Amino acid sequence: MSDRAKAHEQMLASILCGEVDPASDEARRCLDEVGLEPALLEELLRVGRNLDAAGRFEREILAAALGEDAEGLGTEGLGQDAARERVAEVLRRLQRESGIPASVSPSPLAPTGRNEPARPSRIVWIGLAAAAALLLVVPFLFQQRGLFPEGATGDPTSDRPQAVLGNGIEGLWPSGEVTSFGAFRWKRELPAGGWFEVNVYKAGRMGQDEPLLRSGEIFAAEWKPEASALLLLPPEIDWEVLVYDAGRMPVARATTAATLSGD
Amino acid sequence: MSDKRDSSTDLREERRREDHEIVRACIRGDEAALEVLSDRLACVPRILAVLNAKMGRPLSESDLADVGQEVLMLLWSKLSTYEARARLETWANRFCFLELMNHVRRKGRDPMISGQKLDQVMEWATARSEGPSLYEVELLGQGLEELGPPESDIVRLKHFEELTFKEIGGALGISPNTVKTQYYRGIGWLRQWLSRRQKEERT
Repeated sequence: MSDRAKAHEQMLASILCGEVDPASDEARRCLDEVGLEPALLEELLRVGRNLDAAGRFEREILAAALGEDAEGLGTEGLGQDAARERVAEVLRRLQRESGIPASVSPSPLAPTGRNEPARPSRIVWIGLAAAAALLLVVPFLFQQRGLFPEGATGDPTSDRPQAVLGNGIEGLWPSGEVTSFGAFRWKRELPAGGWFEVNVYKAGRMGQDEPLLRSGEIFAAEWKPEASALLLLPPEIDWEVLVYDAGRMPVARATTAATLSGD
Repeated sequence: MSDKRDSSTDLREERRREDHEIVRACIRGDEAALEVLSDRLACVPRILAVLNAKMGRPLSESDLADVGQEVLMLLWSKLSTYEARARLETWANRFCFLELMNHVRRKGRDPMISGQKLDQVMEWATARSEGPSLYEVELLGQGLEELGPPESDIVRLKHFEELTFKEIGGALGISPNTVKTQYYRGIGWLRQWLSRRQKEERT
């Protein structure tokens, strides 16, 4: 994306959250340049206003619930001690019955280093990088030579891809049952000078049909097709993300399947 | 002024880290941490009572007690996913609202509740009631969950915690301009998602 396009997005962000008046000269110049329809701008502004209202709602409910004096709001008899005892009882029972919740270590919003484990030494990093490079390149070369079937998965009963990872790409979304397709996301650093490509297929047709949607070259680890394009997708899709290096060679690939849930 | 805001942002972040540590300790099986967590989640019945009162008391006391248990079970099962993106009470509040709305729906009292304008529910007197309905607030919450980080964090920090783009950049360790770009994309994505969900509801 060009610097100019980024500057436009930044100006539009300032307009949407009320930092810049949409009627100001700078805002109008930006709106003219990007050709944003007034109706679309109004819809975006409405999302922002509704989010403001939702934020205010959340703050006021919390203030009322946590305040000393919440009488008249149905909290009679729910003093801190009574509420605490009621909650403690439930949590103790849950702990007895179901044990400790899954011990996945959550990560804080923005690590500062205070709670971070000691960093691995440089030698360990080099070793890890070499191992990762091997993991990344070997399966791809095998697949290029037809040694892995297209969309090979851990589930031999299914001809649709499960998340096929292990070549440096992680966290594919959407994957499995989802309520909407929205954006396509994954986790993988982009090689210097490289790019990503996403192809979306009708379920079971990967490698047989042309993709229903093709991203072209993208430089961030996500792709948000136009809503109108998403609406044309069938409820079951298979999709792949490919990583290309500066030499225009694919160096990694991951595939997965996603299905729109009924609700 | 700027210094004051910076220190208030630091304090907020510090508190989120404390909350994160409480949850981690609970996951490790620390009994003392479970007591602290009980103190903090004592807000759940009170939040539900306040929400119920604001909506015109669609649920009885015993319904509220049931919802309270369901919220606590849900929070317990999600404890390992708590990432300290918000304080524990704020995190719990989001589950309370969605579960209360679900319960109202199951009770068949949805049509009169979901359509209520937030302005009226919260007695925000406005000449023209243009604010969102409770249903739209519920959808926004679901949309933010679908959107996912980093955009959902940025949008929440902007509108729910009233941080400036600069403060958000500081909290997330990215530049204010990147925050703005991601904020704009997040709002654009939410607009499309909401429009699609509303179309689905109509058909």
